[in-house]
Amino acid sequence: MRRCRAISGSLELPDPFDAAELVARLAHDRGRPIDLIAVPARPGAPCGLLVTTGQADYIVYAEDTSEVHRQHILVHEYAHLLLGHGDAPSPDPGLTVGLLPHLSPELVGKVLGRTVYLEPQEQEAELLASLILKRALLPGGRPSGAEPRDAEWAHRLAPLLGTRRPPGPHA
Amino acid sequence: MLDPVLAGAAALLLGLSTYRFFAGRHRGTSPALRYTCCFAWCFGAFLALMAGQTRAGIDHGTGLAGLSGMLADHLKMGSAGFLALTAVALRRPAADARSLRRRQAGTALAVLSATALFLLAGIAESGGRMAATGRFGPVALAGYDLVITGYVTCCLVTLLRQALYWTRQAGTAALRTALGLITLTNAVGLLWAAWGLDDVLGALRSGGQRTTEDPVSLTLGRLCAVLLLAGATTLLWARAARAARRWRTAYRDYRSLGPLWRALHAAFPQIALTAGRLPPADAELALYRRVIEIRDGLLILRRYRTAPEAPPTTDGAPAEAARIAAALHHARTGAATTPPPADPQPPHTGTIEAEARWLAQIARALRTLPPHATTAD
Repeated sequence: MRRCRAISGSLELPDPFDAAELVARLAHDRGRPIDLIAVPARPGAPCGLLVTTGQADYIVYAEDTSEVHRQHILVHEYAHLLLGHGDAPSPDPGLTVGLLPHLSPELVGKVLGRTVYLEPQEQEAELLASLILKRALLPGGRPSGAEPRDAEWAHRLAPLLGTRRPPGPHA
Repeated sequence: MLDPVLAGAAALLLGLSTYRFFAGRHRGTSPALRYTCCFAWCFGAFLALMAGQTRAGIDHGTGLAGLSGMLADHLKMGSAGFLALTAVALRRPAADARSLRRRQAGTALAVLSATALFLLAGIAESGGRMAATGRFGPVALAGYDLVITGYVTCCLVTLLRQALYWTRQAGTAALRTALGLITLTNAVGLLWAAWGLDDVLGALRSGGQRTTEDPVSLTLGRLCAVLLLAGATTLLWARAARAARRWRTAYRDYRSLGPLWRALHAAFPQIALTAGRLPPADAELALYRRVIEIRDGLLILRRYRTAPEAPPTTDGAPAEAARIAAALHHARTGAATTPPPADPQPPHTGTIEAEARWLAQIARALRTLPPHATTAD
C-alpha cells in the first residue's frame, strides 16, 4: 500500500486526465511503443490484458463498458508496466490466442490479464490504478477549484497564512 | 492573574511558529517564513509578558525598575519590524537586498534610540508607576514612547498597504477572508499603536506612566491576538472543512452503493480487491473501489443478461435493477442467455460522481425488489 501510494503521489498526471495520454507518456519515457487495442468484452476473458513482446507492449482493453471503467482497465495495465511486472516470467501466454489472434504466441514474452486479484501482481496493479484514478478523478485529488491566480497567491503568502502547495494532478 | 485570552494566544503563536519553522527546515526556509516566525516569537513573548504577573517578577528579580516594560516594548517593536520585513519579502517584484538592509538598519536605529532614551529617562518605580527621574527624564520618556509608537505605526502601515493589495487580488472567499482578517488585525494594531500617544502625553504631563498595560491597551491587544490567529489559520480551517465535506459525500455515496455491490459480490466474490485493507478514513478510495468492483461485476454478469427492451435513460434505474436481478438469478441457476452487446449506459457517466449517482439509483431500486430476486440461493 505504501509503495503504491508513493508511486501514485509522485506521478505527473495529464490535466484533464486521459489514460491514453498517460500511457503515451510512459511509452515515450521507456523508448518503447505501447499499443492500445480496444476490443469488445468477451465472456470468461479478461477485460484487460498486457502483452509484452520483444518489440513492443500491447494493452488490450474492453471498449464496451463505462468511460470510468475503461480508463481504469487501461491504467491497471499501465500500472503493471510502472511496477515492472512486465519483466517477470509470464503465467499464461496462451491468453492472447483469443484476443490477439494475429500475434504469434512465439513472439509473446509476458501476458498479464485483469480477471481476479489472487496474484500479488494483480493486487498491486489494481491498487495502484485505483490510487492513480482516485487522485485524477475525485475531488480530493483534483485542484480545489480555486482560480489558478488564487492558488499562486495562497502559495506565495504561505509564510503568512500557513498554506501549502495545493495537491492535484500536477504534483 | 493570568489573562486566558492572551496566554492562550501566546502559547499558540509560539507553538505554531516553532513547528512551522522546524517543519519547513528540510525544504529550506524562505526569508519570508523566517521573518514570520521571528514575528510570531516576538509577539508571542510579548503577549506572554502581558498575560500574567511575569513583568513584576522580572523587575523584582533583577532589581531594575522598568526593565520588563522596556523588554515588552522592544518585543513589540521587534514584532512590528518583522511584520514589515515579511511584507517587503513577499512583494512582487521581489524587494532587492538593499531595501531589506535599509529596513533592518531602520529597526536597529529605532531599537538603539529607544534604549538610549529609556536609560536617559532614569526610570524609578513606585506604587505601580514608572517615574522619570533624570534631568531630561520626562522628555526622554516621552521620546522613548514616541519612537516606539512611530516605529510600530510605520511598520504596520507597510504591512497594511500590502495586505489591502493582496485582499483586492484574492478571488476565493477563503483567501479573501484570511487576508481580510490580517488587514483587520493590522488596523486594530494601528489603533493600539496610536493609543501609545496616551503614554507620550502622560510622560510629558506627569513625568511617568503605568508599569502595566491600561485596560484599553489590553482590550486592543486581546483583539489583535484573536484576529491574528483567526486570519493566520483561516485557510487551514477552510481546507479541513472542505476535506470533511468531501469525506461525508463520498461516504454517503459509498453506502448508497451497498445493496448493488453486495448482490454482485455474493454472486462473484472475485470482484473484491483484497490486497491490504483500505483505510476507512479514505472514503473517496472506498467509493472509487466500489464503483469499479460493481462495474467488474456487471461485466461478468453480462453473459447472463438479456437485452433491454428500450434504450436506457437516467430514470430507467428500476428497469435496469430488475434486469440485473434477473441476470443474477440466471447466474445462480447457471442459465446462460444471449448477452446484449454491452451494459446499458445512461447519459453522462464520464465521471465517478455521475457513475456513482447512476449506480446508486440502481442500488436503491434493487432494494425495493422482493428479497429472493437478489439473494444467493
